[in-house]
Amino acid sequence: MEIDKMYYKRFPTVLRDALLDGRVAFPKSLRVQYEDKQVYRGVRYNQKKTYIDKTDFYSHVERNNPSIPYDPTQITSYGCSCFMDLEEMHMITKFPTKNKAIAKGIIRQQYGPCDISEGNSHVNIFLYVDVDISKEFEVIEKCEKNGLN
Amino acid sequence: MRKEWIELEGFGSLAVEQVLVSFDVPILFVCENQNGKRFLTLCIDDEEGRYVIAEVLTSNLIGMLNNDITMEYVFRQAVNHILYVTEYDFDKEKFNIESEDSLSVSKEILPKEGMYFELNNEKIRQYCRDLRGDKVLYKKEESQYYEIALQNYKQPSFVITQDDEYDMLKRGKLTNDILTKNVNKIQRLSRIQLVA
Repeated sequence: MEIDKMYYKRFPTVLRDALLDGRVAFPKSLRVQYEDKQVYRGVRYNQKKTYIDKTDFYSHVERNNPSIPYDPTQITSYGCSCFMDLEEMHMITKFPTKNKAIAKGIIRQQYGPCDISEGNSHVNIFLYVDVDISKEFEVIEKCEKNGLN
Repeated sequence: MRKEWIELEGFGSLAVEQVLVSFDVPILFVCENQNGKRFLTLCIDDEEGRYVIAEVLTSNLIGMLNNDITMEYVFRQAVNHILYVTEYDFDKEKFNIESEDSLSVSKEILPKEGMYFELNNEKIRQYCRDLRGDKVLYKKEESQYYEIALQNYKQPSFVITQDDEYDMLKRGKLTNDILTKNVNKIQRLSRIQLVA
């Protein structure tokens, strides 16, 4: 698979435009072809929202929440952050962070390319436009006020 | 240049230096201002823009990452014992920030008591090294121990003693190449003793 301007068109507008403008570039370590991977993803979960939907897999740029610190000049801000190691997700139990849950699911190459970090279990998947992977995920642990239940 | 995240009165703009714990959003991270002051920041609720920000001593930050002190302690020991608690006003598009006494602030907005950082991966180790400004100058393999010189110490010889964790590395054939690759892991895991 050649990563060129035609390929960029497979991504949501914000990422496609950033790639075409040269504001960001995919890392050399990007994997377009890879085997299915089981990953964990933090999702929003509260009294009103007790389900997983497409918005849970938006990148920081797509989510566009001005209170969240992210840098739009970094390609990582355009990806969907997941972890392969559940223990890294369990760090959340040490904090009073609210409205969160841990979801477990599968990412597949047909959903988009991924970049696996060196040095931890972090995986960034860059979802193709109109891909909804929420059906692949299920909530396995909910964050309460001060930990997981 | 890092992207500025929040304006803190008296400190100017803060930008994220290092994310320590991430979920779907950064949960625990370190910010830095233009004067090099560091601020440990905890996300309570990103939907409301609720964060707790503490100016911290770098030594406390290193102590936290090395699991010598708890995360709550670092917040409680914020510089001048002041914590900054934010809430984002989405209409006015700005943070509202209130100061709290770090010693008396509710534990409901801090890391759980007694909890150590404990997350240990190469990114964290590298950040810890960056904070210390350490650079490995040389390595010398000996029969029972390894000497590692660190740039920032006047008498830069350390003996890495063998302990259970270190023995994990020794189960295989420990060549200089393996030592080089694992030298920082050895520092992190082992009880390092200064020898003058």
